[in-house]
Amino acid sequence: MPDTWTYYNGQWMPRSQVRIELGDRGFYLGDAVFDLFRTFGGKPYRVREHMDRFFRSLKYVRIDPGLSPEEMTALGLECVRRNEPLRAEMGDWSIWYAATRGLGDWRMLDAKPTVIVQCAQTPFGSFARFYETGAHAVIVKTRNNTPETLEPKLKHTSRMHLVMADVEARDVDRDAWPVLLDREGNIAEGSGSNVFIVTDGVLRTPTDAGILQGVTRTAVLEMARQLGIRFVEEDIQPYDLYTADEAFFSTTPAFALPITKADNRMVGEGKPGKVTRQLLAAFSESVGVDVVGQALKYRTSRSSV
Amino acid sequence: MAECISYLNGEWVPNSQMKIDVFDRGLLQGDTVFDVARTYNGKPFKLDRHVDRLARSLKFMRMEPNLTAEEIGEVMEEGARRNEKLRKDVGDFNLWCFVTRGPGPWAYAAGPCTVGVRIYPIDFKRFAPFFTSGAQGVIVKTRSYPSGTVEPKVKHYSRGNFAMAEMEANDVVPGGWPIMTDMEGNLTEGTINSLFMVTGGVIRTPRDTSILQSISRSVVFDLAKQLDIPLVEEDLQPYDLYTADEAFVSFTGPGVLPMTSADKRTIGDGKPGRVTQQLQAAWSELVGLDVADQTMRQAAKK
Repeated sequence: MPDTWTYYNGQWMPRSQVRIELGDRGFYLGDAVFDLFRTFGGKPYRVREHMDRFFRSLKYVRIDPGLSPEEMTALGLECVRRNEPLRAEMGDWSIWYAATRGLGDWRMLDAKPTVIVQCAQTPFGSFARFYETGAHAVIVKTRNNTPETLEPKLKHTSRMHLVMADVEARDVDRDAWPVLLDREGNIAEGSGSNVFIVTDGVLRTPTDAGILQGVTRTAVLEMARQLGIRFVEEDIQPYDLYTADEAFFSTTPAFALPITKADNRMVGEGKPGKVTRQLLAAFSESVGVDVVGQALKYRTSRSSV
Repeated sequence: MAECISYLNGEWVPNSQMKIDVFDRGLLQGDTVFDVARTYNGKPFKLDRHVDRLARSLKFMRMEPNLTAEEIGEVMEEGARRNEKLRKDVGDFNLWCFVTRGPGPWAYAAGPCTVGVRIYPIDFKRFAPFFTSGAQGVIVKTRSYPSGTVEPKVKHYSRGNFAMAEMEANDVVPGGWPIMTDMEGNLTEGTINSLFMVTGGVIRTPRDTSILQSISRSVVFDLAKQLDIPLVEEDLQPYDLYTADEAFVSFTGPGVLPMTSADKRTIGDGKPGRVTQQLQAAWSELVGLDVADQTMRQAAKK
């Protein structure tokens, strides 16, 4: 992994030189929010939507990064520019930005936010194979957070439940991706992904009560509208996933990743579905990059994120 | 090996001839209650408690077979006697009784009830390995029924959730023992067993709000009292099981079996615990035979 340019509290420096203070609340309390956009062929995708969500997260947790959305956007774009010479080797970037509440005691009297903008290779190696084989989705017993505990719409670094979900899913199949349910037993989301299923030609996804408002989730729904695919946001149970004709995860790095198995039940014919492939093709065309081909090409290059 | 004989609707028949009408609601609707006792040295163990529970199950489900629960208990005893000559070979018997609502389009228009008592050798091979290795628990996402749906205190055969729980546990650990939680996330029970753990010298077990009123569980209570080990019934979470000093399960077959891991976390030092072993010893004394020894000997046969 090459040493990328990273912004840390007002300075640009090689990523290897960034050091977080041990007293930073982002480190020792998970008191931070973040967001992430990716580039396609070097071009940032839906930066405004990601930045809007980042500032909604900041507003909710009452962290003031001391930068406006415009300034933060400019930092993200500068990060892409500064690292452009490395892109041929890495394929494309995930630009990750975060604000912690900074250094401070438990009363936060002297907290001064820490702001980081960093750049890492889109982790093609972690998902590329699933475009071909499909992923195994495992519904875990760890439930998603609720608005009463930690609002799931927040893109927050207090993610232990998602870590447990990953661990649990791997206990079933070391290549599996988790799906979390809400308190009522409805499908909520994956760890860093949204969930879609297709039943009788209708694209179905959970409502955004109790999940992250995925930027790619919205992009999928817009794409479906353009393609004339009927879609509905509704409560979906494990039964619906098991018995769907096809299913996929939506994520920023991968756009749409087929699910071909759910809790050891074959989904549909056990192959990436027609609607999923249609959406992927239309998306590739819209961003001018063959996202599947690119991921397969760069799957073996090393990513540190 | 000679065949056991069992009771079906008033007649004693060889087990291979125990046949039930496919239109019986027991098959079509899971509209069945049952109970299982075992023998030690051929004598039914705590049969009165099993009969009492059967009576409660029948009362809840509003089934009225032509035999009372007490009479069914007498048939179970008779079954043990009738098969006694086979005991030297097989060790001991399970006495399994069931009552279905019989054939019929509606529950209120069904009948007569089918009543059966099946006598069969205890499958010692099924749980022998766990005396030494301990059971590996897997907390599954399938929940126990809350009392407002299918009352879990009733020993019934509408057990689709148990089947899912067993599949799920096996997905995580081949041969793993499922442990379910209630709708609030508190631990409840396994598909064939109650659950106990020991923390700081105290035996802890889920309250009976969403579990079967297990007879083996009640025997553990008796033995803890006798051994002067404190025991509490309370709401317990997966955290408590992962971090317990020891854990064990109880059920009719082996009495008490150690559980040495849960969701791939080693419980205590990963070996059968001290309290578990104390209870096993007391159990053997109570029933007049060394349960582990009998299990190992029978499981080693053939």
